[in-house]
Amino acid sequence: MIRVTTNGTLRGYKSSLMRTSNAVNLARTKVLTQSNYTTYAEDPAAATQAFKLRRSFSRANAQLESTKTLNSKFSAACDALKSVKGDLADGQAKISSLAGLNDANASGRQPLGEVLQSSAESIVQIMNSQYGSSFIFGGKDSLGDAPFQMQTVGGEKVLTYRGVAVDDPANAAALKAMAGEASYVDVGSGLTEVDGDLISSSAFNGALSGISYIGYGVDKDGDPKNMASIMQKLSDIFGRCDADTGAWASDQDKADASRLTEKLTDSIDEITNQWTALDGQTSYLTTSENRLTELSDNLNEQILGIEQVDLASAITDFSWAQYCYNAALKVGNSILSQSLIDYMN
Amino acid sequence: MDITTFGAFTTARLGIYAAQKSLNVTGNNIANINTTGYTRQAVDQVSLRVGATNHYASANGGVTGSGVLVTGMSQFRDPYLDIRYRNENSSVGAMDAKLGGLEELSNILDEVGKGSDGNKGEGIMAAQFQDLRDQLAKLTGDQSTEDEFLTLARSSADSLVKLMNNYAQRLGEVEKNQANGLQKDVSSVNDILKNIQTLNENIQKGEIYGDSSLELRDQRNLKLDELSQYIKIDVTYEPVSVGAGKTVDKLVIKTSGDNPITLVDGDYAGQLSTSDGLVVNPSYASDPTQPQYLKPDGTGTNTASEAQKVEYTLTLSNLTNRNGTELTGTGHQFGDTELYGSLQASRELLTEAGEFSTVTMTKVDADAATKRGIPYYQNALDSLARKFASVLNAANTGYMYNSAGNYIKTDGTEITDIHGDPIHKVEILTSALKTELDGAGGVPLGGVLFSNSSNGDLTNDITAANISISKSWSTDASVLQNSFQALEGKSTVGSSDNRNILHILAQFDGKQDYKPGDMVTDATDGATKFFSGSFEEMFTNIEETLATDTKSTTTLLDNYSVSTTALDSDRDSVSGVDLNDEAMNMMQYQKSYSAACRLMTTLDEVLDKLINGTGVTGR
Repeated sequence: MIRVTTNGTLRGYKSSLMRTSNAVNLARTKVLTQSNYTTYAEDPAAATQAFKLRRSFSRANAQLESTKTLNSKFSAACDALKSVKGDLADGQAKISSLAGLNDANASGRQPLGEVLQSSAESIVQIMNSQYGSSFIFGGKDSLGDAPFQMQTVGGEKVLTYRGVAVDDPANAAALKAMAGEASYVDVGSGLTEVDGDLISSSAFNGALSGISYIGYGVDKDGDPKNMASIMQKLSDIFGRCDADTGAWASDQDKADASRLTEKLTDSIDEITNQWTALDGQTSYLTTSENRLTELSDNLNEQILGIEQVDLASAITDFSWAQYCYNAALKVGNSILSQSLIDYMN
Repeated sequence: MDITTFGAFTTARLGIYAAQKSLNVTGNNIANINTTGYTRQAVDQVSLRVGATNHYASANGGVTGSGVLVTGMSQFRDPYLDIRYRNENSSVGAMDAKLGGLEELSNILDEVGKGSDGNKGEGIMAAQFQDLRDQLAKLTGDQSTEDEFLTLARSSADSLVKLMNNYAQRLGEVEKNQANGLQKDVSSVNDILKNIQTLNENIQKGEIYGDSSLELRDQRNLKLDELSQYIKIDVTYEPVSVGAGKTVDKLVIKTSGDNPITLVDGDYAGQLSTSDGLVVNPSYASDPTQPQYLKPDGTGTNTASEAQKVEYTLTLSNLTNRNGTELTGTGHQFGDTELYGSLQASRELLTEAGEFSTVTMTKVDADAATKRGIPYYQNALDSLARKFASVLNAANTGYMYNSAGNYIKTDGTEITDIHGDPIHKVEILTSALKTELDGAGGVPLGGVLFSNSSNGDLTNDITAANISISKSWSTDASVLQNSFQALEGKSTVGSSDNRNILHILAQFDGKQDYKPGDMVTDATDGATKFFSGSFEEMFTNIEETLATDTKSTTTLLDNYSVSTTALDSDRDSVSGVDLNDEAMNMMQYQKSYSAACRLMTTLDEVLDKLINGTGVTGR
C-alpha cells in the first residue's frame, strides 16, 4: 500500500477488532454450551457422525428395553416351569403316582388320585400365568383367553390349548403348528428381512408356546404326551379304584397306571430338558442385556466425545481469545494517536 | 514579450491565490475526512506564461513565466481499483444474500443442539422418528394388539407428521420472505438506477459549465458501489461532444457477462421488474408479427401455456430519460444465468431445485442440478414424507395368509390362481393382485396409515405439508396391523403376533431409494436415486446438504469480505484523506502563501527604489 490513511487504518482496525471479538464470542459459546459446535454448518462431518451415533444409541436403548421385557418374561416362564417340574410334577404328582402304584396300603389310591387331579389343575393354572396382560405361554395369541383350559366333554376331562384338544390325534397338525409358533423381537441381532421375509437368526423368538413345554399329542401307545393329561388320566384311574380296598377297577387300569407313571417320569425328564433350554435362552437374553447396556454406554461416550468440548482446551482457547481481544483493544487506544497536526504550532 | 513592470504583482497575486485555493482544498479535505465516499481533492495548477514566442522575444534575454494558474479541482481516484472492488463486491452481495437465505433455512432444518430439555442435541424431527420407532418396538413385547400401546404409537406418528407439516409450512414462509426480499431489492436497484441517472444529468450540466462536480461524482461512485452488490456491473466513461469543441464524459453501466446489457446510458436508465416468467421472444419487441413467446425448444409461440417459464425472471424496461423519451429496443428479459450478485443469489434461492430440476430448468442452466435453493429443500422434505407414507402404508396393507404364506379366504382355504395354484404372499401388493384377491374372497387387513388429509384415506400426492394420519387410523388405533398371518387352521391373526410390526421396524432401519422422479415428473434425472438410506438418514442428509452449503458459503463470503475490505483499503490509500498529509499540505501552502506575500513586498520595495529612489543623483 502506498499510503496508509487515517480512515484506512481505522477501517482495518475495525475489521480486525470485529474478527477478534467474534473469536472471543465463539470461544465463550464453546465454554458456555460445552458443545464443540452449535450449528450443523460449524462442523457438518461431526454433526452427521453424532446424529448417526444417536440413532444407534436410540436403537440400542429400544433393543435393550425389548430385551429386558423379554428377559423378565422368560424368567417368569422359567419360574413357572420350575414349579411345574419341581413342586408339582416331581414333588406331588410323581410321588403320588408311584405311591399309588406301589403302596401296600392301597386304600389311599383314591385320595392320591385327587392329589394328581389337583396337580394337573395346578399345572394348567401355572401354565396360564400372565406377564403384564399377556399369557406367558400363549404362543402368538397371548392376549386372548387363557390358553390352557380343562374342559369336561362327555364326562371326560379334556385339556385344550387355545381351544384345541391337546390329546386328540386329529389335531396333530394344528398342535404342531402352534408348538412351533414364533413371534420375533428385535434384540440387536441385526434385524434383517430379505424380500419381506425375516431372517430368523436376526431376531429373537419371544413366543412361548405352552404345549411345547408340557407336551401335546399322543404317543405310539395312544397315551397323551401332555403332562397334565397324564396326571389327569392317572387321577381318573386311581379314582376308579375301590375306595376301601384300593383294588384296581380292572387289570387294564393297573397296566395303564404303571405305563402312565413311567410316561409321567419321561415327561418330567422332557420338561427338565425344556426348562434347561429355556434357561439357556434366558441366559442369552441376560448376556444380550449386558451387551446392549455396554453398547449404549459406549455409544453415549462416543456421542459425548464428539459433541462435548474438552473443557480444559475450551477454557485455554477462551483465555487466549480473550487475551488477543484485550491486546486488540489496547492497540485501539493508540490507533487514534497524534498526527502531525498535534505538533503544529 | 516580457512581463510588464507591474505584471510581477500579478505573479505574486496568482501565487497567493493558488496557495489560498490549496489551503481551501486542504480544509475541505480535512473537513470531509469522515464523509462516506469522499475522494481526496487537489488543486490543478499550471505554470503561467503570458504571450507567445516571437522574433524579438529573446532579444532581451530569457523568457520568464508569469506565475501560477489554478485550472480546476481534481480527485485522487484509481478506476482500476473501483472495478476490482465492485467485482468483488458483487461476490460479497451474492454470497451474503445466499447465506442469509441458507441461515433462514437452517433455523428450521438444522437440529444441532435442539431437542427436549434433557436431551439437547438429539434433534426434533430426528428424535420424533426415534420415538415412533421406540413405540413400535414396544408393541413387539406381546402388546401388539393392546389398545393403549397402539394409541401411543399412533400419537407418536401423529406428532411426527405434524412436525413435517410444520417444517413444510415454515419452509413456505422462508420462500415468501425471500420473494418479498427480492421485490425489495429490485425496487432498491431501481432507486439506485434512477439516482445515477439524475446524477449523470447534473454532472453533465456541471461539466458543460466548467464545474467538475466532484461531490456529485463521489455520490455517484457510492451509488455504483451500492449497485455492484446487487448486480455485477461494468462501468465505462465515454466522451460525448456537447458542441463548441467541448466534450464531456458519459457514464454507461452494463451488466457484466457474455451478453452485456446496458442499464444506464448517460441520462437514460432502465427499470427492473419481476415478470410472470414466460420467456419472451427477443425479436417480438421490434417485430410484433413474430410470436410473442419462446417454447422450451426455442421455437416461437403465442400461447402463454406453451411458453417456457423461468420463475422470478427479471426484466429491464427500455432505457428512458427524465422527459420520458425511450430508447426502443434497449429493454431485456434476463435469462436464468445472465446476472450475478445478490439479485441473482435471491433468484437462485427461490428457484433452484438441485436434483429435482426439470428438463426445462437444466436446459436454461446446465449447472441446475448442483444448485440448491428453497425448492430443493421443499422437494427433499416432500420426498421423505411421501416415501415414509408409501413404505409404511404398503407395509400395513395386505391380505390374510396362512403359515405356508398363501393367501386364504375367511374359511381358511387357500385362494388359487387360474392354474389352480395357491397365490403366495408378496411384499408389495399390486393393484391387479388386489383386484384378484378381492374377487376371490381374500381377507383384507390393516389399511392406510398416512394420507394426504386427515379427512380421508387418500394417498395420492402426499407432501410434507399435507401428510396426515389417515381418517381410518385416527378413528381406530388397531388399523396398525400386527400381522397378516392367520393362526393355524383359523381365520384370525394371533393377538400377540407381531410379525408386521417387526416388518415395519425393519422398514425403519432399511434403506430406501429416493429419486427426483418421485416428486417431479419431468425431472432431468428422475430415475436416478440421489440418496439411499433410512428415513432418519434421509432427514440427516437434508440437514447435512444444507450445512455443507452454508459452510462453504460462509467461507466464500468470508474470503470475499476480506478481499473487499483489502480493496477498499487500497482505494482508501489512493482516495482517502490522511491527517499527516493534510498537515504537511497545510504547512506547505501556508509557507507558499507567505512567500507570495513576501514577493509582493519585495516587488513593492524594488519598484519603490525604481520610482522614488532612482535618478535623483545630486538632488
